[in-house]
Amino acid sequence: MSTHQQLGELVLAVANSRDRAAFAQLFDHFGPRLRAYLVRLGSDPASADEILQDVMTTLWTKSHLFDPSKSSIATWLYRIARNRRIDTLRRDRLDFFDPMEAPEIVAEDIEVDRKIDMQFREGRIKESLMILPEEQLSLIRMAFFDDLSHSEIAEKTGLPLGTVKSRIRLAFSKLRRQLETNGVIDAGSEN
Amino acid sequence: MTVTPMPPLPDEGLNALLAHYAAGHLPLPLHGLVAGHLVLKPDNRAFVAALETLCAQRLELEAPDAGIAPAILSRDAMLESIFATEEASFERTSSKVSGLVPDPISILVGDDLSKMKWRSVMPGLKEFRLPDRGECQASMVWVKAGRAMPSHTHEGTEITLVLKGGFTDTSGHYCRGDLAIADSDIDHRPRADEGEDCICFVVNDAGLRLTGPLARWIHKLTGH
Repeated sequence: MSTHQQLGELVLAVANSRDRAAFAQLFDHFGPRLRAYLVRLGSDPASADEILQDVMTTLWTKSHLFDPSKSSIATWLYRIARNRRIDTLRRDRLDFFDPMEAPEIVAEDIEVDRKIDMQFREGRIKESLMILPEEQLSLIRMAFFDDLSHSEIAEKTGLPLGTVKSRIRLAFSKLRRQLETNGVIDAGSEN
Repeated sequence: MTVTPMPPLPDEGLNALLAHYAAGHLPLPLHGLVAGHLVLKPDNRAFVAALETLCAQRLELEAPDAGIAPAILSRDAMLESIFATEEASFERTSSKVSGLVPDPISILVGDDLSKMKWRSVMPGLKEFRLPDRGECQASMVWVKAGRAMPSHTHEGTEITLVLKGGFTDTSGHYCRGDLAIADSDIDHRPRADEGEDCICFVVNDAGLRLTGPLARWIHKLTGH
């Protein structure tokens, strides 16, 4: 299995030297995974292929827009695939603009260390996720990735309904707190 | 195991909405609305980015086995056609954070208020309604400064993103970039701030399933 770093190097090779072999490796790694995601969310195989082709074309033509300090290539491609699937109803070809690509507005008075920290978002984010116990993560996955209702989760896990609800609530507030502690913040707003 | 009941947190419905957004479950107008909120107000970006990272990690762990990821039959043809794609002009598309309508919403309604097909609902209230998509109905709403919307309830969950000005209802005060979530139980009468017209992008989704006190309608339907 390719490591995060190897994948990052392949993307660099695509961005810098239009390396087709590197692109094919990325395609073979992410293609089946993204396609599985698209089908799981309800795309039929033909449209899943079409969306996948769009997503991988974006990687081929716009890999220079990928910023490894902001997110991993997996998360970047995931966002493009997700947005594209939701946006297939629109006819025109304007790309859906993902908010994570929006310029970060950093307040003037924020100290330099903090600014540097913000550069390595995904590392900080992964650290923050690690404080959640596996059980809470799996409840979040069931509730939001699999879109199961709380009572379906209660049935599946054998946990009382109230416990399902409170653990999800707890996991979210823990995650928010930890993100704050780890300095994964987007300071300021347009005003 | 005993669980101490926790008081409902005010952001429970918001967390659920953001998580559904991250997972890609929302219909286009609502996906655009949440994206617009994240563009205008960065406060929730880290939380959403963390959930997106989880989604992407899951992709990584799960796909290779159990036949979830069948081989792509047309791999070579697909690669060939991708390599044949003209390189796009390499200018970074910049977001119109400063424009009234942020990008994720302007692809749906345009960014020129004067070109939208406004319909007068009552004095001081105009609406530009997008074609309905299933259970999801989206519109731009323009309320004159100081006016109150007629008191109303809704069938599903109503989510409002403020684009200009501000308004107040029983749940609080909302400014540009803020999200307000109201369920069918809330009989609310939002009032636009004095001094400036209030323009919002509003999505009403009868099929949306949020948890907690903000989505009591679901509990009523399912009986708990």
